[in-house]
Amino acid sequence: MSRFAIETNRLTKRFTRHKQIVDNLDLKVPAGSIYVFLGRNGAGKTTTIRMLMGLLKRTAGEVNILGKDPEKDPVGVKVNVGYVAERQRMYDWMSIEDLLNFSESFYPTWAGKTAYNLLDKFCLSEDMKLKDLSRGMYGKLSLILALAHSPEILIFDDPMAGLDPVVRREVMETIIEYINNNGRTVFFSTHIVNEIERVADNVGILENGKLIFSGTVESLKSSVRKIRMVFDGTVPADINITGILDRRTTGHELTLTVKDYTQETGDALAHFHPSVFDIFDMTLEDIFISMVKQT
Amino acid sequence: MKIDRKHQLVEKEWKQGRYIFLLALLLMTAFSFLLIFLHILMPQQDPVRSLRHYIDSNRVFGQYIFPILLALILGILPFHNELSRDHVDFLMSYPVTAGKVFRTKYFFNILMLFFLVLASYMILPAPIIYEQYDTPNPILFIFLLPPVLTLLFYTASFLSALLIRNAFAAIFAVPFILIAEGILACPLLIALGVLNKFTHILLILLLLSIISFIFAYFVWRYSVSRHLPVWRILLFFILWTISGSWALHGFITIITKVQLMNVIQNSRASGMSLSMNDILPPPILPDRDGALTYRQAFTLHKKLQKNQDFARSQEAYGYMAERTKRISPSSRAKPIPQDEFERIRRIEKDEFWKEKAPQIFVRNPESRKLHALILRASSFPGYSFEEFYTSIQHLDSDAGRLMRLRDFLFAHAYILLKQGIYDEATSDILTLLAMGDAFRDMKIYESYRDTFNSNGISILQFALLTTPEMFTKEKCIRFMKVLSDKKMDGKAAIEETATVRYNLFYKKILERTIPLSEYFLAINGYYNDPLPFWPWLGSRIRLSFIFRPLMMSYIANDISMMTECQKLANKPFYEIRDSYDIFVKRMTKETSKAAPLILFENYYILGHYGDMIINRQNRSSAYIDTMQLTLAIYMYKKIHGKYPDSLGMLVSTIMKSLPEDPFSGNDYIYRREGDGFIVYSVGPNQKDNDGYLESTEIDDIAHYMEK
Repeated sequence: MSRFAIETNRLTKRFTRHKQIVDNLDLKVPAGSIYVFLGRNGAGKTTTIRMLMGLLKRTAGEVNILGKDPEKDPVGVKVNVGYVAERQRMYDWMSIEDLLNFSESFYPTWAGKTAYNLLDKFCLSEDMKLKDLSRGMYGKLSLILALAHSPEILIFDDPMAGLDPVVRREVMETIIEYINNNGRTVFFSTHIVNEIERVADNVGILENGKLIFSGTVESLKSSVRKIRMVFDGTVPADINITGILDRRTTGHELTLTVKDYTQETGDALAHFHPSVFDIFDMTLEDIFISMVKQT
Repeated sequence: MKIDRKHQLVEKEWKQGRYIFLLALLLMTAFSFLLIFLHILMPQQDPVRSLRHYIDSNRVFGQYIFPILLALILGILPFHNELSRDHVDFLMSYPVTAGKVFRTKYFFNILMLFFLVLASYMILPAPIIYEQYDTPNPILFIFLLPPVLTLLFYTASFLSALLIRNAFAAIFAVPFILIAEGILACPLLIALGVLNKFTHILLILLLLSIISFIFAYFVWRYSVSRHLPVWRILLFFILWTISGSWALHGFITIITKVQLMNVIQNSRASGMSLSMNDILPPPILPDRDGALTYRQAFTLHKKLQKNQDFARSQEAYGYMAERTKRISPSSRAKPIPQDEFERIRRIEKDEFWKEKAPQIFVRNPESRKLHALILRASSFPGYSFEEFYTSIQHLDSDAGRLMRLRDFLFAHAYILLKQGIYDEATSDILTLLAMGDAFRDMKIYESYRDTFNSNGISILQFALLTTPEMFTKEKCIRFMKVLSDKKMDGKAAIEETATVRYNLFYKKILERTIPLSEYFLAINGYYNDPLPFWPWLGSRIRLSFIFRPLMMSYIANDISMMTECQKLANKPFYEIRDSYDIFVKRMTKETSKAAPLILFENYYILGHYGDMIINRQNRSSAYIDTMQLTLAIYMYKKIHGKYPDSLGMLVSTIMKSLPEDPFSGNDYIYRREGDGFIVYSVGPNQKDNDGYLESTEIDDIAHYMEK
């Protein structure tokens, strides 16, 4: 097995000849890491994930999940993957118990105990019908289904969309707790990044089907910086360095967001002699917003 | 731990489908009770017939309608429930292949469906009527056809649900899918020849099921891995269906037409003069270039003829001829020249039909129909009136018209009686009695044979030929006995015997052709009671797409047999003795080939014209019965010197038993009127209107006999 739990090579999906949803994607998710897959709506996240799961036929490229191709060996891949879909619809006519029984039969590694512990934790009762569940309960239940068979890889396609902050926090904590206890690979697609930021190891940013950034969270954070400069006079118009993602001028103050920040960038800016020169770390969310806004 | 994934999928299917399943059982039971309840509740005039009707409706529901309905529902609903992309994604996120999901779903539902079909056999008890299925293996036919039909409908609806993700739209799309599958099955049709063998039908139905199964599987795979561009599939499907169904229609038409042409040529070579126009009514053309359509011209022609505007009527007639010629140049149709038209008109105007027929036909609607039929028959292009008249005389017309010979015979007898030519009239009377199956006792026949009948055998033959349904094996044996009693000289006896054999063959053909021509005439509005719009439209569509081509193939088969019959009949009996057995065997085989078509035709006739045909049958049996009674009363007078006081007096002397009025279930009404008498049925309105017919259309069916 390679050191990557999920690996894609020039993964491409075209729905029509001109509409390229996913464009030569090279994803590398190291085993045991938490990978955050960021992107705006319509960037191609869900399409990518469905291809990873083998739910959607890819146009070109290769996919490798734990050394297996999901199209060639769908059962072998899925048995090791816990998956929560974007708008997961389960069978409304089932009760929770029915659903758990139904799911149990598919997985040799099913841990009924985990499932019932989680049910208790989320205050769900097994005789509830799925059609009576609220949105939050539904989300929790799909999480339980994904975790109960102790998969090697967890793939979450925006599991927290539409959930209220309390449930979101609860779900997030459960996931983190699970990861901490088991050390599994997590592939987490979302555009709400606050909760995941603390634990994420790697991050990939998808825009228009292309990966515009892929690497560790630290490298991202160290390369994208916000610089605040205050000048005595007017803000010089000729500040023009490479990699400016955002530029904001307020009176004598200039705020720049710069990608690929290095010491040389700082030196270059220092040439303009600002009276105040501050460099800030940015949150993942801010970085994501400024990066996708620019494109 | 071994995990049975299939088991869980099956359990899921069961949980998902159990309510439909139980509901279907409940509905079936409820329907069965409803039938019984209706049966008890409704006033029954004829318990035997209504019971048969009850059993028949059970059979149709149990064997065809319920299974097909269930197939539609079970095919569409379970799939419909989980065909949204999210549901598919959810199910497919489990470690299971798309193929396994599909197979489980398909086969488990099939299993449920077959169980329901079995249940429908039991809950709606379906009697096995072997005679209805003229096939070597009726059990196979009865027990295989409904499941195979169900399978076909189930698979088609399954496919439909996959293609169209709306349950209602999917149900409506099923027929189109079936048509499309029919087109796909064309190569097999070509390989197997014409669609006339039961096993072929089964094979084709199975093939269609397999085609939809495969197709459905691919659609399912496609829908699992990629969203469907629905509009494009729909567009493709519509185009495919339209072009394909026309192609199918054209294909069947061409092969059957070729077959028919061959057969006609063969029959001509062996001395039968037949043409397409003798067999099929002329095709009816759409109005393409603003000219009159065939039908319009026909109506106009009729109307003008009725108004005695013969010049313009002839013009309309020319249109009809032209129309016919244009679409079937190979047929014999040609515009009728002026002098021929004049001749027809003269015959109508000056001779028998103009002067005598109206007097005879005026009182009786059935007779009026005969009159109208003769007039109409005379107006088919390429069909000369004289030919028709001759064909009546020589019993050489096609079967549908032959049936009307009874009317003709009655008319003839009536005229003879009026003219006082009693001996000849008695021959007709005897024949009519035989036709009505009043000829139950050979003693009656024998007592009259020597007195009145110097030509008994030919009359009986005539009767047999005109009433094929009355011709039983026992009768044939008795008849042969009569023949041997007669002590004919050798050659004559042999020839007579050969003729009887010929009639026996001919009778078989008639049995099959008559319902067909009845149906055909009904569809084309040749009777006075036209169909309501929707049934008419439906029958037009079926007629032009399916029935006409199939019927041509069917008739081709009949003609080839008729040709063979004639060949045999023209030989002396001792020469045909060996080939007779071979022929009977072949005949049985041919008949079994046509079994699906018989079913097809019964289905349409009973399904869509049941009431009409039953009504017509009642009317004609009432007509024949009253006719018989009239003649029996007349004979009573001839023997006893006076009319009887009641119908009961006829029993024991003339008739074995009295016929029942099919409309009331009682005896017919008999009354002395002046010097004569009247005997009548209460008619479809079931009211005694004193035997009068003229006030409304539906009324008593009566016979007068005036002094």
